[in-house]
Amino acid sequence: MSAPAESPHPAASARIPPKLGGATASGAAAPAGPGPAPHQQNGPAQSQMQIPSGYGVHPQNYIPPSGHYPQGPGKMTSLPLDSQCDYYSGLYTVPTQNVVTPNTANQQPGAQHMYGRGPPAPHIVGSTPGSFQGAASSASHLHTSASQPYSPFVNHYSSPAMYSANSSVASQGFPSTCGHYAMSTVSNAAYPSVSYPSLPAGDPYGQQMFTSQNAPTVRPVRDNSFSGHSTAIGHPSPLPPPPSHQYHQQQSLSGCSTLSWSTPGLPSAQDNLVRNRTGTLATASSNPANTVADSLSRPVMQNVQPLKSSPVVSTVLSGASSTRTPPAANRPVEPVASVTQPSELLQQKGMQYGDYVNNQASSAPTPLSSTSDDEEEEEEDEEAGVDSSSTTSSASPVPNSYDALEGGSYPDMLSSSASSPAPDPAPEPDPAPAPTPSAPQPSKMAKPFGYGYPALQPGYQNATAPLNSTVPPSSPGYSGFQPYAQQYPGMNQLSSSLGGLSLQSSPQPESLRPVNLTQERNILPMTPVWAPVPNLNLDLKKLNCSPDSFRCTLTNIPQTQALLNKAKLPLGLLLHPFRDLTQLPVITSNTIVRCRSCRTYINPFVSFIDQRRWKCNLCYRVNDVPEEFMYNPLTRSYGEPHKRPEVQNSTVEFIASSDYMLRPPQPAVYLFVLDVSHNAVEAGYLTILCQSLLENLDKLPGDSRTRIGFMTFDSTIHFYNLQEGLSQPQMLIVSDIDDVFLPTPDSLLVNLYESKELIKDLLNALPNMFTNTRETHSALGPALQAAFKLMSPTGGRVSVFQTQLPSLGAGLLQSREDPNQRSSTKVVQHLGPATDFYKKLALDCSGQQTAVDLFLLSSQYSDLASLACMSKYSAGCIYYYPSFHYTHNPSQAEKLQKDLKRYLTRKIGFEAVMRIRCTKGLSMHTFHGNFFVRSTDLLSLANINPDAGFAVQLSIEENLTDTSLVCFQTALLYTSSKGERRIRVHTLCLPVVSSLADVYAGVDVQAAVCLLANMAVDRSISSSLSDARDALVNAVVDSLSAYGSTVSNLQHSALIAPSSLKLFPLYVLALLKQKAFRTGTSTRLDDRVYAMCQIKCQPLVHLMKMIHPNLYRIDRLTDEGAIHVNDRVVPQPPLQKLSAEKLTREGAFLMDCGSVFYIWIGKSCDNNFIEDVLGYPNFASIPQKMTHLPELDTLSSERARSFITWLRDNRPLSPVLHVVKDESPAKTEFFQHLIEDRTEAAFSYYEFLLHIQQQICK
Amino acid sequence: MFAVRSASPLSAWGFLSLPRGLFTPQLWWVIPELIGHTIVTVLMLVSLHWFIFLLNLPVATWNIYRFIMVPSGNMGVFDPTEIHNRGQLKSHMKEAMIKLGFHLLCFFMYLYSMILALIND
Repeated sequence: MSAPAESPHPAASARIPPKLGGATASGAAAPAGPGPAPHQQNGPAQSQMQIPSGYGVHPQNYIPPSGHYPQGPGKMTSLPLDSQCDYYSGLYTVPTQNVVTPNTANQQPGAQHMYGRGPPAPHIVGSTPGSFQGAASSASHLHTSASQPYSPFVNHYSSPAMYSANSSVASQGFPSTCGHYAMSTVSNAAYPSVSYPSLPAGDPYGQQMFTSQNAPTVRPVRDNSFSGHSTAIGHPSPLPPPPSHQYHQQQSLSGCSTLSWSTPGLPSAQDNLVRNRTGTLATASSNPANTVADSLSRPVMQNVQPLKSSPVVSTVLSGASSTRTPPAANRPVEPVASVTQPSELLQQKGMQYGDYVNNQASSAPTPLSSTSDDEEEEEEDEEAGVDSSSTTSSASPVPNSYDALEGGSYPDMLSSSASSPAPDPAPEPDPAPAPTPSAPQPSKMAKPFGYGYPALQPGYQNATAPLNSTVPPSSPGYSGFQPYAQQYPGMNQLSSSLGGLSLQSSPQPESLRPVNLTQERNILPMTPVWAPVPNLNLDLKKLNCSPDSFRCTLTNIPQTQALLNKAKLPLGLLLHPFRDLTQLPVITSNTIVRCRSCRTYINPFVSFIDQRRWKCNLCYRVNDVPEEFMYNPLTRSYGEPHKRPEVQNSTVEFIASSDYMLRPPQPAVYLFVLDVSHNAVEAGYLTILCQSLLENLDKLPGDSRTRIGFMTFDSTIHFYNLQEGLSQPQMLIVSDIDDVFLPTPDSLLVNLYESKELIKDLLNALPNMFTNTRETHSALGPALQAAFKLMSPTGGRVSVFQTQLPSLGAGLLQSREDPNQRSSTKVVQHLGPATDFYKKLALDCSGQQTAVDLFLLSSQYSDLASLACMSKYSAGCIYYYPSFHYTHNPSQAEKLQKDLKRYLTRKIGFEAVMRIRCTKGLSMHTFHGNFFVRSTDLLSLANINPDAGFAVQLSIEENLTDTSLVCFQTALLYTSSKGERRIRVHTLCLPVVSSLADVYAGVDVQAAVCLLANMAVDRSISSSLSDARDALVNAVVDSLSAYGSTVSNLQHSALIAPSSLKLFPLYVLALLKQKAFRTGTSTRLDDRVYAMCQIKCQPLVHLMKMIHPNLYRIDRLTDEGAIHVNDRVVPQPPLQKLSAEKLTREGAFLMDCGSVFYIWIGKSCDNNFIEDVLGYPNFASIPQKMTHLPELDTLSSERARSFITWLRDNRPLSPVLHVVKDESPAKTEFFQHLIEDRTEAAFSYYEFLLHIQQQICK
Repeated sequence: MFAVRSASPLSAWGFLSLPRGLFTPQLWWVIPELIGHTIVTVLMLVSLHWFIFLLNLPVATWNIYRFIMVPSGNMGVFDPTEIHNRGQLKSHMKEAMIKLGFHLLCFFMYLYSMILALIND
C-alpha cells in the first residue's frame, strides 16, 4: 500500500509548491504531500520535507487499519484478517455443550414448553444476516430424528432422564437458536459445558451439541437432510478467501453442519458436526493450517468419550478419528508455539500487577460481608455460586471431559488474544496477516490513530523547530513528555522489555505539540481522526476495551478534581455498549466471578495476589478465586486463573444463570401502533411500512414464541384480532377513548408463526383500508394507554407511527411553534415537553419492560419535544421524517424504507439494565441517552438496540493519588430475543496523571465534543439555548486559556492549542452551526428538537459525522492508497475541509453526513465524469432529484460506487444519497454543512478563532 | 409486577421497578407539606405570633415557589427522570436537611411555647 495522497488530488496538488518535490524524492512513501505542510507559515524547506516524510511513512502502517476500521460490525472481510478470524474461531468456538443436571432440568420444565412450538414454518434463506433460520429449521427436523436413538448415550453423562428430556427440548428448540445469535455466538467461546452443568436448559447450544453428537451415527438421515440444503452447501464455494467474515459465522452457526460437509477437509466435517459451530469457521476460512488442525484435533478428544459408551458411535467415529489423527499430532506443537509468547506476556503482567497490588496495599480492604445488594443481578449471586458449584461437583464429568471438549482451542485463543490488542475484535484488525501472532504487535501498539506518531517524531521535532523559533519559549511538549515517561515507574521496570518500548514510542509529544490555530490553515487531517490510545503499557493496551464501545474524554485521568478544574475540560465516558460485534467471547459458566463488595465482574485489569486470591481493581477488595475459576481451560491446567478468557478480554459476554432473572425470559413481543387519520393516509407511509414488514416478518429477531400485534387509531382505536383459526383478521373498534379497554386481551398479540397468514392478510389489507377516511383527529394518548395495557404482562417493543399533533383524549397537545420565531437569534422556547403525560407513560412502560419507539412522519409541527418523552424515558428510539410523503418526497420514503429494514431486523435485547462502575474515588453524576435512571448508577433499559449510545459525566470525589490506573466497567444485563439472559461487560482502563500537561496530552477531542454536545442539550432544555451556546464557546475559551496560561508559556498574542485539542474549536463551531444549536438560520422547532434527541442517543461515531461531516472529492478517484475489501478496490480520497473554498466548479464532491450523503456536482464538472459516473451526457441533463448512482461499466463509476458502498457498509443505517447540482435549490442543504464558512448568522472558522482569542485576552 | 425471586424487601428492583412509586412523593409528601406549612404560617399570622410567623414565612414561600416553578413537562418537584442528573439528588438532600433542622427548631419552640402557655394557665 502506498501513500494515499499521491493521487491527483487537484486541490492539494495545486497548492503544493514544488518544494514538495524534494519530499517526494526523499522516500517512496513520502509523496503523501499533506496539504498542510506548504501552508505552514514559517517553515523552511527542510522542515517541510520532514513533515511529509513523516506523514509519508505513517500511511504504511496506518492506512490498512483505516480500511478495516469502519467496516464495523458487519464485515470483516479482507484477507489479512483471516488469520485473526481463525484465531477467534478456533478459539472461541467450542460452544456450550452442557450436560444438563437434574437441577437445571427441573428448573426448566417450561423450557420444553417454550420451545415446544415445533419448527417454524420454512423461512426464506436470505443472504441477510440473521436470516438463516431456514437451514437451521430443517436441520432441526433431522436432529429430532437423530436424537431419539441416542438417549442411551446419556448414560455416559450423568443422568439419563434428564438427558433425554433435554434432547427432546433440543430438537424442538434448535430452530430457535439460529440466526439471531450469529454474530455473538459463533466466534464466541461459549466455554463450556461439561464442567459447567448448570446452564439453563433452554440454552440452545447445549441442545445443539447433543443433537449433533447424536447425529453422526444416523448418517444416512443426516446426509439426506443436508443434501436438501443445496443453498447452504452452495455457499462454501465463494467462501474461501474473501467473503465476509460475518457470513462465515452465520453460516457456521445456522447451517453449520452443511458447511462443514463441503469444506475441503472432509474429515473435519464430522467434527464440526459434533461440535457444531466449533470448527466450521476454522475450516472454512482460507487460512492457516494450524487452526484447522487444531479444530480437527479437538474432536478427537471429544469423541473419545462416546467411544466408551456406544459402540455404534465408535464405529462411525473410528473412521473419522483415524483421518484425524495426523492433525492431532500437530497439536502439541501448535499449542506450545502459540502459548509461549502469551505466557511471557502474562507473566510480566502478573509481575506488574503484583507491584500494583503492593502500591495499593494501603487502601483499606472492604469488609467481607457484601452489603450492596440493590442490583437485581446481584441478589442471588452468592447463592448461585454455592448452588452451582455443588452441581458442578456432582454432575460434571470433570476436567477430563472438559479438556476433551475444549481441546486445543484455547491455546489458539490465547495466541489470538495476544495478537489482537483489543479483545473485541472489530475495528482495526492487524493490517498484515500475522504469521507469528506477536509480530504485528509492536507496530500495532506504536501505531497511532490518525498520525504516524512514532514515525513522525523525528519529523515532528523538525517541524516544531520553526514554530519555536518564532515563538520563543518553546517546547512545552517536551517538558510534558519528560515526567510522562517516568510516570509509571512500576510499570516501566516490570514490563521494561515490552512496555518500555511502548512508552518510548509514546505518542504524547505529538499530542502536546503546540499548534498555532490562527496560523494553521489546514487544521483538518487528511485522514479520519481516530481515538487516542491511552498511554498504558503494552499489555494493558492490548487488553483494553475498543474505543468504539467505550471512550473517555480524557485518556489520562487527572489525579484530583482540582487538576480537572484547572484543565477546564469535561470528564466523561461515551458508551456504545450493545454495538454489533463480529467477535465476542461468550462465557458460560455457572459462577460468574465478581467482587464480593462492589460486584465488579472479573476483568483483565484485576490483579492476582496469588493463586487463590484476586484484588478488585475498582474497590481494591481482595476476593477468593472460586474453585471452578482455578481451572484454566486454555492450558487445561489447574491454577492459572489469570489466563481464563474473562481475564484475557475486556469485552466479554456471560450467559447468565437464572439468578439473574426476575421472571422467566419473556418472548419477543412487537406491537405496532399506527396512525390512520386522514393526514397519515395522505402521507402514505402505511404502504411502505406494510411492505417492509411483509419482507422482514421472518427476520424479526425472536424465537418460536415471538408475538406480534397491531393497533391503529384516528379518533377511535382499532384493534385487530389475529387469533389463529380465524378466516380473516377481525377489526375491533373501541371508541371510548377516555377509558380505554382491551376488547379481547388474549388474541390481540398473537404468535407470529401460528398466525402468520392472518398477519400477512392484515398487512396486505392495511394500506387500503383507510383510503377514504375523513377522520382528521388523532387520539395518540389513549392509543398509547391501550398499548401499554396490552404490553404490560410481557414487556417488549411498541412502535408508534404518528403523523400529526395528537388532538384527542389524554395527552393532547397544542401547537406551540411560532413560525416567525424560527430564525430568531434570541430565545428559542418550547424545547421541553408541554405535558408530563408522555413522560409518565414512558415510566410506566419502562416499569413493565416496554420500550416505545416513535416514528414521526409529519409535514407540520407535531411537538416532538413532548412526544419524544415517550421514547426517551422508556429507552426507545426516535425517528423523524419531516415533510414525509411517499410520492412527493421520495428520498424520505427511501430513508424510511431503509430505516425500517434495519429497525426490524437488528438485534434487540429486552428487560435490560446497565450498570456502570468506576474505580473508587470517581463518581458518575449525569447520564445522557434514552433510559430511565433507576438509582445512582443503574440505568433501566426496557429495550436495548445496537444503535443506542450513552454518555456519562464523571467527577473526581477523592484524590486518586494512591493509584496509577483507573478502570470503568459497564455491565449490560439483557434478555436476548431468543430468551437467554446475557451480560455484556466492557472494561476500560486508563492511567492517572498528576500534571496538567499530561491531562492535555490525553484529550480525546471527539469524545469531549460529543459529551459537550450532550451537556449543551441539557442546558438548552433546562435553561436556554443561548446559555448552551455560550457554554459551548466558553468550553473552548476556558480550556485553551487554561492551556495557554499554565502549560505553555508561549506568548499570548497567538492562539495556541495542544495538538490533541487542535480540532476542538472547529468541532465546537460545527456544533454551534448544528441544527440543534444554531440561531439566526431558520430552523423548525421539530427539526431542532430531533437534532437534540439524536445528540443524546447516537453513539459517538455517528454523532461525529452528524456534527462534522466528511467531505471527499470524488471526480478524480484513483487507486493510490486504495484499500482492498472483498476483492474490491476502495479508493481512499483525502478529507477536505468543510469550506466552499475547496469546492471547485470543475469537481464533484461527496459529503458524508452520517445519515445522508450528498454528491455535489460543480457547474463545469468534467463531462467525462458526469457521463461515466452519473450516466448523463452533460451537466444540464442531470435531473434535479437523483438518489442513485447508476451501475455503469466504467472505471470511474466503479471506483465511485465502491467508495460509496464502502462508506455505507460501515454503518447500520444505509444513508440516502442526494445528487446536488450546483444551481439546484437543494444546494442550500449541502451548503449548510460547510461549517468553516461564514453564514449570515454565524462566524466563519477564522472569525470564530479570533473571537476566542479575544475572549481569552479579556 | 414480576414474581420477584427471593427479593429481599429492600431489593432495589422490587421497589424501583415500580416507577409509579416515585411519583408518590409529589402526592403524599410535597403537597401535604406545602398545605400544612402554609396553614401553620397563616394561623400564626392570625393569632398574631409575629415572631413565629416571620420565622415560617420564608420557608413557606420557598415551598410555594418551588411548587410553582416546576416546568410544565416535569412530574412535580421531584421528577424521577431528572433527579439523578446534574447532582439534583444532592441538592434535594441538602434542602431536606435544612428543612429538617428548621422543623426541629420549630418543634422545640412550639414545645416551649406550649409549656409556657400551660404554666401561665
